[in-house]
Amino acid sequence: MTGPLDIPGNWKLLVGVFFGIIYGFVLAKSGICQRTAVKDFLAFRSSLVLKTVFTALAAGMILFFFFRYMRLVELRIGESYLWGSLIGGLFAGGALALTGLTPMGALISIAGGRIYAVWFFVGMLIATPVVKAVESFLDKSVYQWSDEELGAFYEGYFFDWSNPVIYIAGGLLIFAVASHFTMKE
Amino acid sequence: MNWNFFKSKWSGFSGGIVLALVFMLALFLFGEMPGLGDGMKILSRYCKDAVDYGELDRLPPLDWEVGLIIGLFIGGLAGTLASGEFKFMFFNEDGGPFSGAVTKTVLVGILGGALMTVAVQLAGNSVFGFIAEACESSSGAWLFILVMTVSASAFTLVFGGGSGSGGGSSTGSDTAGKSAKTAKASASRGGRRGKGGEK
Repeated sequence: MTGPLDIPGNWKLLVGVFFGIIYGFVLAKSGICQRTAVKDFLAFRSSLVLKTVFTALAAGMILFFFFRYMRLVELRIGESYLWGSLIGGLFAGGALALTGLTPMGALISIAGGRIYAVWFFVGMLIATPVVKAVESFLDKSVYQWSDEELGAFYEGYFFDWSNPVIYIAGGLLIFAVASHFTMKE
Repeated sequence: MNWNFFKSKWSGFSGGIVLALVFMLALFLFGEMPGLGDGMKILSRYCKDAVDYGELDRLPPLDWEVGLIIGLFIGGLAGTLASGEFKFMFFNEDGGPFSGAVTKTVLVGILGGALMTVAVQLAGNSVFGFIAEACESSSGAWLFILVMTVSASAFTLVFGGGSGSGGGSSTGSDTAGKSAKTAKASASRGGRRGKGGEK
């Protein structure tokens, strides 16, 4: 898959490294990869993660429309299915409640000296062959429950009253501002 | 150039806006949203082949996803150093080496990683990959994020989240320090009021 720039071969790897440095720096500075920040968010003790993620989603949804209109980006989403996303979300919620970490959060934590996050990757490595082994069971069960792919829920124009993105982004921003005044950061 | 922006703590709003711009940059550069899923699949397949064949005579396919993982580590290190939050911690913030934290850290970490692997396998993308795809109005991404957030909050509230703001994070220690100062100030104000009442 290529972007509008169509970067060739080895240059793409180098650009990937530099982009990763920017992305890692932003994630570390935003504080949303910290285990304590995530756990405080889940227990409604802190608004940092909520404000950051909600603002990112609202701004990202709006920016995506304008950049797509300017032909700088195209709609590219991976395959996702109803039951896979639902059950996967439950498992991810369990992992998040238990550890306060995501794969990217664990990587950033290790970079920040939190060596305990290595055990998160050990768990991922241990589970990978197990998941591969039950893949045939998943093919006959979860993946059969719905074969309709979930795509983008709106691809029309931004300035249209029927555009749900306006209401979702507005709601996210209102919620983020409300949490700023009601919860500590 | 004002370097304070890079050294100071970011608010949720500024962090969110910068994060959204980073997502759009990824879409512009690579044609897809950034996530660890693909890079980890490449590296885990390489490790599996190395174990199966018992040799490392060729490098893993070096695509931008692998470069992303390398860059994330370097950028994360730079970010935590710039914030002054770099600290070696071998146990999570719930306790030190003599408080039973060794077993808890190892078991919780391994179990959490295993659950997350199942989640990524079922859903098809990683957590931050879905957060980025949600900006493209992906229904699957929004469903995953909503279910994950609600279930994680429910699990935390029902089973207890442990000490979130522990000594390991500067946020936690700053909050504890502020609480102590507020308590002291309230006590001294109460004392002065008492003296005024007596008069």
